[in-house]
Amino acid sequence: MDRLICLTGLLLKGSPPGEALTSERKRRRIASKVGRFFLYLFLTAYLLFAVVMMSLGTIRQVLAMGHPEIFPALILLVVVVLTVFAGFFYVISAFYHSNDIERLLVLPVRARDIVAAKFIQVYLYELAIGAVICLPSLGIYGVMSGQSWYWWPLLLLVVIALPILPLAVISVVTMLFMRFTPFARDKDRFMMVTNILSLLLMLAFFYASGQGGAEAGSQAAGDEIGFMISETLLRRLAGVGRFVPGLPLGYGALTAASVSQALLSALGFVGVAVASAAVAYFAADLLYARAIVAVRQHGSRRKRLSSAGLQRATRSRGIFTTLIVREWQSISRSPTFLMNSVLSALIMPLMMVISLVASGDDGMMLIRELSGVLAQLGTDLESGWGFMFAGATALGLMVGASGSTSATALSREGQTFWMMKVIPVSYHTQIAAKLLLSLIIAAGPIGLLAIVAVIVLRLPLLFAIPMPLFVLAGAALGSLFSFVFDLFNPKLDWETETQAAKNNLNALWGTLLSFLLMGVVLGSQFLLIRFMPTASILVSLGLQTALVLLLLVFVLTLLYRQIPRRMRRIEV
Amino acid sequence: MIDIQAVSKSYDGGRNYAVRDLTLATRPGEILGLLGPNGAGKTTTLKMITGILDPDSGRITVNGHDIVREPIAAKESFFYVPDDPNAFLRLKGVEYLNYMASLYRLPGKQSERIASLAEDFEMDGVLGDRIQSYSHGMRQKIILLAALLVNPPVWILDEPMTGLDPRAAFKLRGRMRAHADAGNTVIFSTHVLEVAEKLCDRIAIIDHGRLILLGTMSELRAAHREDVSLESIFLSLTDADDPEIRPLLASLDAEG
Repeated sequence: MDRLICLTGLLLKGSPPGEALTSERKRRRIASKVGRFFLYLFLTAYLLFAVVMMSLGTIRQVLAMGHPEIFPALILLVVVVLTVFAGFFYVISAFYHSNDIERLLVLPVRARDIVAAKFIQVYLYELAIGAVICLPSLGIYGVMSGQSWYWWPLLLLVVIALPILPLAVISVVTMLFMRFTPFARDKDRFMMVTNILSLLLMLAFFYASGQGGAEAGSQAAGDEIGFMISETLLRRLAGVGRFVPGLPLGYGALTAASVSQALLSALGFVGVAVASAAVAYFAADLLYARAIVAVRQHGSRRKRLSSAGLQRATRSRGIFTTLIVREWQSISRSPTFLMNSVLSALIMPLMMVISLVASGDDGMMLIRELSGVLAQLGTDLESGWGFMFAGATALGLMVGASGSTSATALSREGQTFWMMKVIPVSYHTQIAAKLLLSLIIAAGPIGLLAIVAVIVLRLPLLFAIPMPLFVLAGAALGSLFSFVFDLFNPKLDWETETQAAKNNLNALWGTLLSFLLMGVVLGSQFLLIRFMPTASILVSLGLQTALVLLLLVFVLTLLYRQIPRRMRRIEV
Repeated sequence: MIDIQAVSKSYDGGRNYAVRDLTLATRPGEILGLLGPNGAGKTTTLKMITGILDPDSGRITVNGHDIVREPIAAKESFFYVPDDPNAFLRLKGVEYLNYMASLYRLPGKQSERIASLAEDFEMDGVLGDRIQSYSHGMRQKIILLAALLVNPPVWILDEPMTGLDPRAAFKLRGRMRAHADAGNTVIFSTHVLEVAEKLCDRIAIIDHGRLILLGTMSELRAAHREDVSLESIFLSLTDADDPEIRPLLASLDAEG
C-alpha cells in the first residue's frame, strides 16, 4: 500500500526537476504557472457558465413535462459518455505511451501497483471533469426540484463513484487490446488516427447541431426556453442510460422515492464501481506487463533503405527549401504538432463550409440573397461596405493566430534549439523559413476559401481582388504578431510535445493580441463612418490598405531588428 | 584555428562563473583535449566557441572569424557534435545527413559519400529509419557521420566517445587523427583520460572555469614528475585536498 501511495504521488507530481534552475528560468516558470492558473480559472468559469445555462433551460423543460427524473439520468449518461471517450485516449496514453513507463517497470513494484497508480491519475482527471458538469447541474436540479437532505450526500457519493466503472472497463479492454492487436502500439500512428477521428467527430457534432439548431429554431420560435430539446429526444436519451452497466443504480440513488431505496441504490452503485476496479487491478498482473513488452517491441523493426530510396532522399536543395522541408517534416510527423498547427488551421474553413451545407436550402438562399445585394454594389458604393474589407482582415487575423504554428515556432525546437545557433545560416533566413511555412499552413485553407467565395458570390472587381488579399494579410499579421511572443519568451524546457504546443501560453497571448487588432481594423471603419459619413468606398479601401500595411511594416521591422538580438540571448 | 582570448561567462547575473578569464589557442594540425571535472566549464567553453552561448567578455575566433561579429563565416568552418545526441528525432538518418549537407552547401549529390560513411560506421542498415528509433550510440554515430560528411577545418566534439561501441570509437579516433594530420584542428572534451593521453597532441585541464594546465603530455610530465600518469596529474590538480583522493594519489605516484 505504501508503494502504491508513493507511486501515485510521484505520478501526480510529474517528473522531478533534473537540474538546478537559474533565477531567470525560475522566474519564467513562476510566470508560466501564474498564467496557467488564470487560464484554467477562466476556462473553468466559462465551462461552469455554459453548464449552468444549459441546465437551467433543460430543467425547466423536464419540470414542465412533469418528469423531473429525466434530468439526472441525462446528466449521468453525458458524464459516462465523456468519461469513456476521453478515458479511452487518456488510459492508452498514460498506461502505455507515457515516458515514465520504462522507469517504473524497473522499480521493485508489481504491475498491478503501476496500473493502480496510473488508474488513480486518470480517475482524478476524469473526476474533475465529471464534477464540473455534475455538481452545478444536479445542484440546480436539487434546488429546483426540492430534494430532501439525504439526497445531497448521495449526490456526492454518486459523482465520486461515477468514473470508476467506465475507467475499469476501459483499462481491462485496453490491456487486452494492446496485448493481442498491433493497432495503437505505435504511439505516433495511434495519436495521428485519434486526433483525426476527434476532429471528424467534432465536425460531425457541429454539422448535427447546425441541423438540429435549424430545426429547433423553427419549432421553438417564440418559446422562452432557449435550449429547447424535443421531449421525445430527452426521453430516448435518458432511456439509453438503462443499458449502461451499473448506471441505473446511480440513477436510482438520485431518483428513488424513499431514503432506504436511495441508500441501497447508492451502496450498490459504489459496490459495482469498487468490484470493477478490483477486476482491473488483478487483471493487470496477467496482462499489463506483456502488453507493455508488445508495445515496446513494436518500435524496434528496421527497414533497409534501398539504393533508389537513398538517391531520392539525397536530392540536393537550396538552403531555404531545405529549412522549410525540415520544418514541415518535424510538424507533419508529430501528431501533436500536426493537430495544433495544420488541423487547427483547417477547422475554421471546414466549419464555414459545413455550416452552409448543414443549413441546406437556407444556406443556398443566403448565398443567392447575398449575391443579389452584392450585385447592387456597382451602383451603390458607400463607405459602409468598407466593413467587408475590415471583416476579411479580421477573419485572416483570427485564423492566423488560432493555429499555433508561428506562436510555437521556436518553442517546438525545445532543448535542440542550440542547433539553430550552430548551423551556418543566418537567423533571419531560419526564421523566415519557419514563418513562411506558418503562413502557408494558417492562411492557405482560408485564403483558398476566400477565393472560392469571391467566385461563387461573383463579387465586383473592387471587392474580388482586395478581399482575398486582406484575408491573407490578416493571417500574416496574426502569424507574425504571435511569433513575437515566442521570440521574446520561447518555452524550450519541455519533455513532451504536448507541453511545447498545447500548454504553450504564447499561442493564447497571440490570439488575444489578434482580437485586439481585430478591434483596431473594425474600429477604424467604424470611425470612418462616424466622422466621414459621405466618404466613398475607395476611401475605406485606402484606409484599410494603409492600416494593414502600417501594421505589417511595424511587425516586420520589429522582427528584423529583434531576431538576431533575441536569438543570441536565448540560452539552452 | 581556434583562438580564445580572456573569455568569461557567468550565470545568475555574475554570481556564478562557469568560465573565467580563459585564454587558449589551438594550432593547425593538432588535436586538443579538454579535461576537467563535472561542471568545470568544458561544455560552456565549447558552447561559446560554437556561438550557442555568448561570452560576457573576451573574444573568440574560429579559423580567423569572430564568432560574434562574423558568425556565418565562423560557423561554416566548424562542425559541432554535442554531448547529448537527441536532436532531429523525427527525421530519418539519411534525411538528417542530407539536411546538413545542404546547410553546409556541399556541392552535388552526396549519396555515395553518405553510403560509404554509413557502411564504415555500420549505420547503412538504419539510414532509412527515424532517428527516434535509434539507440543512444546510433544517435551519436549519425551526428558524427554528419561531421565527417561536412568535413570542415575544425571539429568541435563534446564527449564524442560516449555511447560508441569499441569499433566505432576506434574508427573515430583514426578519423580524428587523420583530420588533424591533414592540417585541420580537432578540439574535444572527454573524461576518458587514456583516450586523451593517447590521442591528444596537447591537453588543457579546466577546473572551476579556469585553465589550470595546458601542454603536450611530455610538457605536463615535465611540469610534474617524469614518470606520472595523466590520471595522477589530473587528480592532483583538480582535487588534491580530497581525503579520499590523497592516498590514491600516493599509490599512483608510487606505481609511477
